[in-house]
Amino acid sequence: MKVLLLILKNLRRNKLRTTLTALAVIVMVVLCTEAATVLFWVHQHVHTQACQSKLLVSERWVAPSCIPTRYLALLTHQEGVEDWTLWNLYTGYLDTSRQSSRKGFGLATRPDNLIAMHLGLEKLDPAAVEALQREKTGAIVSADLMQQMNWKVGQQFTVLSSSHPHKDLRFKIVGVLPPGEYVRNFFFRQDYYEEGTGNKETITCVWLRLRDAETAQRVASRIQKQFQHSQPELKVETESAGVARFVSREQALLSVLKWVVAVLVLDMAIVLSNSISVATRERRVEMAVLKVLGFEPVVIMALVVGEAMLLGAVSGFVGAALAWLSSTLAVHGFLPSNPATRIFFSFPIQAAMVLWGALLGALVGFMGSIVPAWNAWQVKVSDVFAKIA
Amino acid sequence: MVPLAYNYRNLQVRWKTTLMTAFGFTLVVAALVIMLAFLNGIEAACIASGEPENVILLSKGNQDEVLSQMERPLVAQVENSKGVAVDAAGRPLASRELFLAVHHRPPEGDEFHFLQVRGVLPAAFRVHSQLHLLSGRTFRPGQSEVMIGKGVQRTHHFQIGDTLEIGRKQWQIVGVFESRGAAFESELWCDLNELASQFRRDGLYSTVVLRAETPQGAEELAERLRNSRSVSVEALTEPKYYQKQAEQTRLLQTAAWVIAWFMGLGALFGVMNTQFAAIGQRSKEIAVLRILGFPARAILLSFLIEALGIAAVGGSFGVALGAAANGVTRSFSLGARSIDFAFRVDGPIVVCAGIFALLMGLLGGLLPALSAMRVKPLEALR
Repeated sequence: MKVLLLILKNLRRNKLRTTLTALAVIVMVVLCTEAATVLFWVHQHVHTQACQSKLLVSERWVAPSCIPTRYLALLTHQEGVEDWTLWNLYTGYLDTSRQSSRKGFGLATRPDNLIAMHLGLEKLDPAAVEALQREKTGAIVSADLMQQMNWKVGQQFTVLSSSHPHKDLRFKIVGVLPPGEYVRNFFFRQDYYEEGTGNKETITCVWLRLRDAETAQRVASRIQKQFQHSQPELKVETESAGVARFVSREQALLSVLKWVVAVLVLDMAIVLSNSISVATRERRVEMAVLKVLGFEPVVIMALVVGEAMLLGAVSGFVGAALAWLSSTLAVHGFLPSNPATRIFFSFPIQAAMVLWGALLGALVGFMGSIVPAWNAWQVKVSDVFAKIA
Repeated sequence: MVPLAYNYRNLQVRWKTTLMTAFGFTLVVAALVIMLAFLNGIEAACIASGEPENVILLSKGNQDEVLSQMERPLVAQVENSKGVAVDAAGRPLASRELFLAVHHRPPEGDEFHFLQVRGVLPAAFRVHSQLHLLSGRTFRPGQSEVMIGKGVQRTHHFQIGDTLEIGRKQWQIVGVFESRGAAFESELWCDLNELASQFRRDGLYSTVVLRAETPQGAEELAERLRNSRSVSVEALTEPKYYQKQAEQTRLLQTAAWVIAWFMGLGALFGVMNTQFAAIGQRSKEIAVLRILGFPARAILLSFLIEALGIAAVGGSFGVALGAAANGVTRSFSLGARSIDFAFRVDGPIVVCAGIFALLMGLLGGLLPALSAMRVKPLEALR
């Protein structure tokens, strides 16, 4: 307690220095929190157990996949399949400017088990799903598209199709997807897709949910064997493997992001270390006095490390809280839609990241205080007093 | 007159703090250089991909080769459009192409990867004049043979003579080509008919590339086809098409600058901290300088120069560190396709990073310098 009080007093002593150090850490933690959210997202989707028990069935060789509808019954009646859904991809422009930034990616699917079969839709309002079941032309649209196009629930929109030339479809918005998983997507009904495009023969892919990862592996090899000599042949992979394949295409971007996080952490440690070093240099006499008064060198070290860790933790907490607040405000439409805020729709920051920010700050404080703490440990009473004398 | 010698000696005396602050700049500037080199590399690969004499045609409403599908009668009609150049035998210089993203699983691995395969006819080599064979030979029509771009070779470590399982057939690699860093280097090229029959795409094409006599002719040809009432296609000159592909990196560009400014802000507070600490420790020295006759303006400049010096040294090392990424090759997905590119550090990036570092140094040094200027000599010496 005594040490904590001393730390707090030390921090209050040079308010300007403490503020500047805290500000440096805060801005870097803001950035670090969003970058870490992206990296956590990737890790979670590639490695979670839930993704291992869901299978993605698509055409073996070519993308975009095109599976004959007649395969559907054979796939969904496999032993061990607990639930299933399908996707038909329908892409197009959302206005006549036909700019790539105005492109939407529709997914025609079964509405009845929409929430159960899709990762990240747990928070989707069940009323939206019910509305989709009632309204044949209904669409549940991503929060990002809603904000970008300034749409409201109940409004209608037309997709100028690029995947199905001359088959433009009109939709009525019946709900909004929770931010995170599906950024430029909208879900709509498979029967409306079939009616609107005239395509009843093919589907893009099928999702199967199995009891566990082991059953998933067994069913996957069974399906692959069964369709080995069919035309087209099928490819079966777990959801996590599918995500990993897409993520691997963005490996360069992820490498740059990891480099940015490393630089931020190192930079924070440097700023903190610099600040604590200056403070330690200024307090050499006090440290000598503390030693004379009987304070152990380890306590003096603890004072230095504690000061850096406390400053880092509080700054990290504030930085991460600011990042979370910005993300929440952007997602709820309180911040203007621009390329900088739209990243929050893809990777919204969770409230738990605030704690992570505090921990990161404390860790960085620890890293940054090792050298100054070592210098404090080595303060020699005789040298300090000799200089004064 | 500014006491520059004093500044220099001060930086030397407080070398640890100076070095640490400069290192902070080094990291930030290096990160900025790498981010910009990443985007610059992608853009360069896209720009290199287009020949101004070529017009690329896609099915109406499509801007991506992967989703585009054109049927034979339409293709035959557009090939004979006015403005298309002809070869010595009087045949139009038109390349029918089928572009597919196929899944490939290496024999030793259990994960699927995408391979981009382009089926072409012999006319393609006359239309895409920048394509050159590096080793081996071109594929033979009607044979399951492929030639690979040097980007594919680099990424997947394929060699001439290797066989790839694509579809139900084994395809033999017979050659390696390059195309001046263009997106084609990320592809496998093979016989169009062989590919079409393998994947049930007979009579279907992703694109048709028409060659005009001149870049101006290509512009006119694209315009004519876009406005034509008899044919319904998307027509773009190749440079415009690839430029549009590169537009997908705009969001990343914004993100890179947002990251850079945030990092810069952190470094700015860092340099501010260092300079305020320096002033706190040197208030007596500043007072002496003032008494010696240095005006307040000189003190301001002196501290600003010190901050700029730290930023310049740190920034220079940052540029050097970032430049180490120059030429490093990676692949990146643009829409449904992916391209191989090399990180590219060029003059504008170096200048940009330099200005960025100096600006951060200037902003970070300004407040401390102003406070140094206001030091009252008598009070400081008391």
